[in-house]
Amino acid sequence: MVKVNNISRDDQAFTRDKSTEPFKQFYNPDQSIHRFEKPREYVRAINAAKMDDIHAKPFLDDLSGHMDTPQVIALHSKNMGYLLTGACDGEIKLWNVPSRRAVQSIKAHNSFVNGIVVDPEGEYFYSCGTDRYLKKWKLDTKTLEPEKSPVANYITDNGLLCMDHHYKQNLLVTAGDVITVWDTTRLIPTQSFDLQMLHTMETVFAVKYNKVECDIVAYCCRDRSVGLYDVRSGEVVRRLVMARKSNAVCWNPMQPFHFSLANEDSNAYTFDMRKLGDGPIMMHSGHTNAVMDIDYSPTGSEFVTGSYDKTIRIFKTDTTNYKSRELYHTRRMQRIFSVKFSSDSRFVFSGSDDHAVRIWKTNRSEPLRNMSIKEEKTLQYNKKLVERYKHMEEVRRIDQRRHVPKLVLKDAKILQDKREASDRRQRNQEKYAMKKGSKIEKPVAMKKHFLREEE
Amino acid sequence: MPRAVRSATTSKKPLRGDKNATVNSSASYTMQPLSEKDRETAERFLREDQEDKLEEKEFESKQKNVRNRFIKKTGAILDQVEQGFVYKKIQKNDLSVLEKYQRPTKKVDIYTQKRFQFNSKKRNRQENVRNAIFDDQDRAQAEIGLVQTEIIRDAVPLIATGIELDDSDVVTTTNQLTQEALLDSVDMNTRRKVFDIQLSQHSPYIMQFTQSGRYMLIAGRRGYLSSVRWRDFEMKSEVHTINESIRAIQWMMEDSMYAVAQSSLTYVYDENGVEIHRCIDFQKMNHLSYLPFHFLLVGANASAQVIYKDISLGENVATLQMDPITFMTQNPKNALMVLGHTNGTVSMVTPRDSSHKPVVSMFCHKAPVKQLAVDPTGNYLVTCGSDATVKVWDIRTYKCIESINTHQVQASAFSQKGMLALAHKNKVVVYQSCGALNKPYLTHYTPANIGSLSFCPFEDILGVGHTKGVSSVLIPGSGEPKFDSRMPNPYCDDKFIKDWNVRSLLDKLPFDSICLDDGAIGTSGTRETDYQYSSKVEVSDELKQELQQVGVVDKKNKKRVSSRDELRESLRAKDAEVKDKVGGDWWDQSEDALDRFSSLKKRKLAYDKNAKEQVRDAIERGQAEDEAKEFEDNVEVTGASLKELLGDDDGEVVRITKKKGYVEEYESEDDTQSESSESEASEDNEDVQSEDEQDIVDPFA
Repeated sequence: MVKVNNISRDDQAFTRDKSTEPFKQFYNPDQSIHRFEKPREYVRAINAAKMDDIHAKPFLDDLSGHMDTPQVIALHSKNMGYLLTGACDGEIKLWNVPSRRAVQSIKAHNSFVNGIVVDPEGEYFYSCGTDRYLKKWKLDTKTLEPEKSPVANYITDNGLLCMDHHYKQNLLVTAGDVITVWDTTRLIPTQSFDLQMLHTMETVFAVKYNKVECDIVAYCCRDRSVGLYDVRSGEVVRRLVMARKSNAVCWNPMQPFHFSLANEDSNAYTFDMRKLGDGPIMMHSGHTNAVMDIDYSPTGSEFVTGSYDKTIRIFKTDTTNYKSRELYHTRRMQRIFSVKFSSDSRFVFSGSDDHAVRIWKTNRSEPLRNMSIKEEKTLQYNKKLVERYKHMEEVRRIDQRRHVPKLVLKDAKILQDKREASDRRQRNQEKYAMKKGSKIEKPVAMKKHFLREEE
Repeated sequence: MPRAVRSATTSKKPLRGDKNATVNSSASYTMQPLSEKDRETAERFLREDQEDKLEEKEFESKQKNVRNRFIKKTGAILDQVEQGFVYKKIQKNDLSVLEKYQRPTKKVDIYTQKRFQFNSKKRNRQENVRNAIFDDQDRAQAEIGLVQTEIIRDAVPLIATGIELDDSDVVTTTNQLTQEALLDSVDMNTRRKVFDIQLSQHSPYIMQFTQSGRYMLIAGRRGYLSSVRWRDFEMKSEVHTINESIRAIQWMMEDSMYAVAQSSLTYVYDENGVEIHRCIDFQKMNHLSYLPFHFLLVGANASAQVIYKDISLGENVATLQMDPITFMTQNPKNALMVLGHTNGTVSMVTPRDSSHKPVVSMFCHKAPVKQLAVDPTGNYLVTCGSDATVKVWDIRTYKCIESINTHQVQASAFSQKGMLALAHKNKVVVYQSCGALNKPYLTHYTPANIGSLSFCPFEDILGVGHTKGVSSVLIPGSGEPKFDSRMPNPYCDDKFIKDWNVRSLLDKLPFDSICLDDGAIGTSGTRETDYQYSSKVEVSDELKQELQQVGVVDKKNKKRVSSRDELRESLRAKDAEVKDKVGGDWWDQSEDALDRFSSLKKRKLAYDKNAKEQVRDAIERGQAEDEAKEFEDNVEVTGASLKELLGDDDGEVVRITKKKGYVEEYESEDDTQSESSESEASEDNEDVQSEDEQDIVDPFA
């Protein structure tokens, strides 16, 4: 008997009974059914990159109202919607970010406001200025009435250039010519450390408490040195000297050993505090002028820098890529003096010379509205596609295309030429030395900018 | 036999007893002018050479004649093969595409790289490991997302397809089974799928199934069109093209529209039979084809043009002017169009060729190509020529795998599972694969001449269009039993098709990404293996044989000869010539021409040494001056003595002269004497030898 095996499908097994039921799904990965799968995915990746480029609108809004350059930006420690900024004319403003309005504005100091810090409970905030005052203020977001007088104030011998709050205890550190630690409950200095003991009379203009090893403070000094000060022992633990001075320092909140410096030589450097002698772990370059401020995202995977070249850049810390991920600028934005990540890491705040505080999105094309699950998945898929085909010329070109201001391009060209010239000189010297039979030590490029570790 | 050659020294000074006699190292061996015997042999050689040359010339002229005749016969093809080696172009064309899509290789500047290096290698490694972990996390997240949204992976159980025969059967092969016998042993559901629609008014009829296998399009050549959902025979549309014959039909955009090449222009109808577009550029198209992922409608017309039309934009993307075209089909794997020509070649073209040159051109038949079919894997090509042969080609290596002589094939088709159907008059023969053409799987006779064959996707059905209508044939095991719900399938609804059309339009592949190696797009460079096989492209074996008969040699197989090789070869030839002329083992045979010089040097040194010693001996013995005088006048060094000196076994006699100037003198003076003395010398050889055993001459003194 002939036995015939042929395709004979029972329709019921392949179709749904009611229209409310989901479709029955079947799967066959055979290539002859899915033709051109790879090229189609590639085209999809290009489209995803294009869509990302089209939707890139990082600039959200600006908070205007200051009469001078906002030099300090501080976050509310409990409420994400509030922001404190201090300007060069001594004014402090409390902003309600969602409504973009200043809730309070206080004429706090007679000169520059150099530091604002909110205590971990979010009840008080402290400010210091070049007028030698350290002031404690009540932080009340509910009353719109401005409180004109501080809760407490203290006058010091020297001008205060920076400050930071301890993450667990009621301690405050301020610095100018002297690093001083304060007890915030009574607002009296508990210890002070004169840098004159170490080196010549120099001023400190950045201090930052470590968020995990809470008693360690990193500071930047005008004599190009960066040091780690242990509050418990009242000593400087480690010190390193850079080729140019550093403007700001910031600890990585997720990797407590790492901190990054905003340097005057247009680069940012990341150090491991255990191995300062080895030089920086990473040099982040891209800016064409001095980097003025730096701040880590709460996730620790990236940080934002503001520069004198009127641009903001976001760098990734979890890659080996030294280039910035993002470049933000507007035509009106002038030199940037302060940057800050929001505490949900979705936004970046910047204060610039044109008296405005600007709000930027961290991911340039991320929509702010609530998304459906489907939409979210699509975005995730697109992101993954771009990542997968990043090595392809077309995708990479679209993905990494940014509008760069002409001035920055020009400056970058000049810097590049300089670098090449020095490299060439180095090479020629080596060649000449080889001929003569002697050897000269090849300096690692990154170490040029880093001089030594002291102590 | 050693030939005795007289050697002479005409020096007037006595050699022996001369205390100042020294070995003159500057003296050298020189060849004497040719003797008459030698001259004769040389002349003979010359003559023979000339004769050889004459023969060669004749042979060449004969070949030329044959070749000219052949060229006349095969026309332009051979010209192409000889001049251009079209086959080579495959590489060039393909690489140009890759350049666009592959990552450019950058020169890595060590110094700039070093600038941003990590200080310690360990740190670098740590960093990399951390990156890898980050990636894995991302990947895991993405996968979770996929699981949430992705389809349920419900596998259809694999059904064994085909025909199984028992011992109890009357027939021994499946080929003997008729459709009636098959239909008896299948269920009702399958029996319903076999139909025979009898039409006559607009005959002959052609038909085509869609990619999903839901619809079929029936066209009468004399102007009739209808699209039918064949499962329940619901007619979707019916069109009569009045006064216009139909040349070709093609489904487009997954069931939603079809293109029809009518007597003058090509029209596009939607699913309801409404004419939605008239392609003015597509005039008198004989063949139509559609590339679903590139959204290209391709037509080949009577004036040998291949036109690509982007149907999403309505623009003509490329127009290629080719040789006269007899048939066109597409390679489903890489979307190349495969064209058959009247001159027996098959060419594969891409729309990005502005030079109108095919990417691949194969000489397949010695007669016009009638039918072409590419198998679903894209690896094999079946060509049917009007010389009644069917050939199977491996398109990866461009070699003929199989060839059979049958009748002229009028229609051919490949099924999803790789079954091949060929039609001749009213007979359809189905083979299980294109590699088994000697063993037909099923044979079926239709009531009339067949015009077209089309396998239904995802079904075991072969649609046949013939002069008396359209019918379907059951071919068990021909269709793909498992379908994918994400792609067009027999159970998808119209909404899915609409959605699919939009989605595939978003992922539309650019027309210039069509290239021979479909795997190259989306990768970061040429894969080495692929590059190798594309460089291996060859002229077909048959053609090669024919070309060899004519005298055209495959250039690739010829070994590359450097100037050094040539020199070496010529030296070897010269050596052989010298050996032949002189006869015997004048030089040690084991030695090569190249290292002869070194051995010569060695020998000379040995000779010098020997001579010196012997001269010294002779002086010691104090021979008489008279004897020395004899040597002055005429010295014959016999083979035996030389044998001693040179250590030669055969003891040939070598003519040794003192100085060149003397030799000339000797020549002019005693030309005749030398000949006579030669014979004398040969006779007196032994005597001289015995007499002058101890009388040694230093020829270099």
